[in-house]
Amino acid sequence: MSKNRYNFNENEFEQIKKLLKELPKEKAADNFEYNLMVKINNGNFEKVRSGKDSFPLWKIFVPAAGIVTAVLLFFFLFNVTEENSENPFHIPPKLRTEISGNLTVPLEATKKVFGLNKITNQDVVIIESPKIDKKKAALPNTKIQKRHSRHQGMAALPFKLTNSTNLDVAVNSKKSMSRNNINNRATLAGMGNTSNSRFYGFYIGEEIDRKDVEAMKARIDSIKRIISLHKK
Amino acid sequence: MKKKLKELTDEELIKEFQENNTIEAYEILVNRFKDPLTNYVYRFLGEKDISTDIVQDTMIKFYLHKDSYKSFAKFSTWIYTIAGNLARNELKRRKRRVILSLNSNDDDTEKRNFQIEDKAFVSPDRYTDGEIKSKIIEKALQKLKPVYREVVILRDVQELSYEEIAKITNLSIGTVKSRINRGRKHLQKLLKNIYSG
Repeated sequence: MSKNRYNFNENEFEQIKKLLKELPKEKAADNFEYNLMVKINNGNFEKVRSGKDSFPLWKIFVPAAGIVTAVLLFFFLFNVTEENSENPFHIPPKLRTEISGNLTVPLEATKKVFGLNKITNQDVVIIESPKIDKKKAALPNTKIQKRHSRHQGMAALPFKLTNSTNLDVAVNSKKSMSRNNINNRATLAGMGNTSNSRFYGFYIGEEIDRKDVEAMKARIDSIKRIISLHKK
Repeated sequence: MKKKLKELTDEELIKEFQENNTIEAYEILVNRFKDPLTNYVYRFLGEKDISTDIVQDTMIKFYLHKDSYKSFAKFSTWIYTIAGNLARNELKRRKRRVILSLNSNDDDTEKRNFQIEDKAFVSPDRYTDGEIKSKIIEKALQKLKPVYREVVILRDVQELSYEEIAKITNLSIGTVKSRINRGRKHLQKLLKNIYSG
């Protein structure tokens, strides 16, 4: 014998049922049928209510699609510019064989140079690129290297490390220029020519105009006079 | 012919409309169901204008999709199902748009009172009392959850059978009874002051 769980006591809600029954009955408008037939005759069914029509599901994806499109556009635009300005450090260097490797040479020229009369257009002639002799490659500098090697390191310098040296004299080898003449061009600091003198750096010795010196002297003298007058 | 059509049952009329496209049969069915449907939708949504629109749309759907009705079901169940679906969709739409109609209840109540047939026989005091009661009941109904409100209206206002309600709402009879019971209990709490007096 199964229990009927839903057989609740109807009398329990008699008053509620009575109240609900007593509610005035809502009636349709007088022109309800007329309006309905007008709609039907005009084929005016567009406004038929439907939850699905009011908010289609695809509209949910509109913002997301917009964002994705914007991101893609952004990506492609900037990616193109990046390709144009490719980082040269990321490009692997070409092999030497690729640069000076196999070259296509006209057939007649090949025949003349290499004396290969039997080759045809369809033959492929591979000529090895000439090997670069390291010794030959260094030829232009050979003399300089030899000259330097004679002096062997620091001894090859044209001045003594302990003494100050006039660079102009050292570079231009102008012996006529006096080493003690400060007014001449650049001179090494630490003018003392003792062995204990230390190197403090370079400074530029500019030529001084005698007129300027005399003018300066005159100014100093006038200042001294003024000071002495004030003291008195 | 018209007299004959009026004597036909709902199911016979829809059959006539389906088979012969007799517009008179359709009009008779509209005339029979416009008021009960308006009352049902109005009690469910609580707004007169929208209820009228929804019942109109129900009738248009009936007109357009008359062939989707199958003769093994009752016509009233079928037409109530269409109206119920449209009314539920309207509720969902309202939730989305968060439409708050503050004055609609008062306006509609005033209009409705003119439609009470026997108001001339009721004393002014009683009439006022009835009006207030109606307002309170309406508000209480609107406070119910839609799932309870729908079945309570169908059972206690429209006076449909449990089987019909189960078909309209596409629920089992047990669920329908359970929901009606819960709805009534909730209403009882809300209307405590009215029916005790």
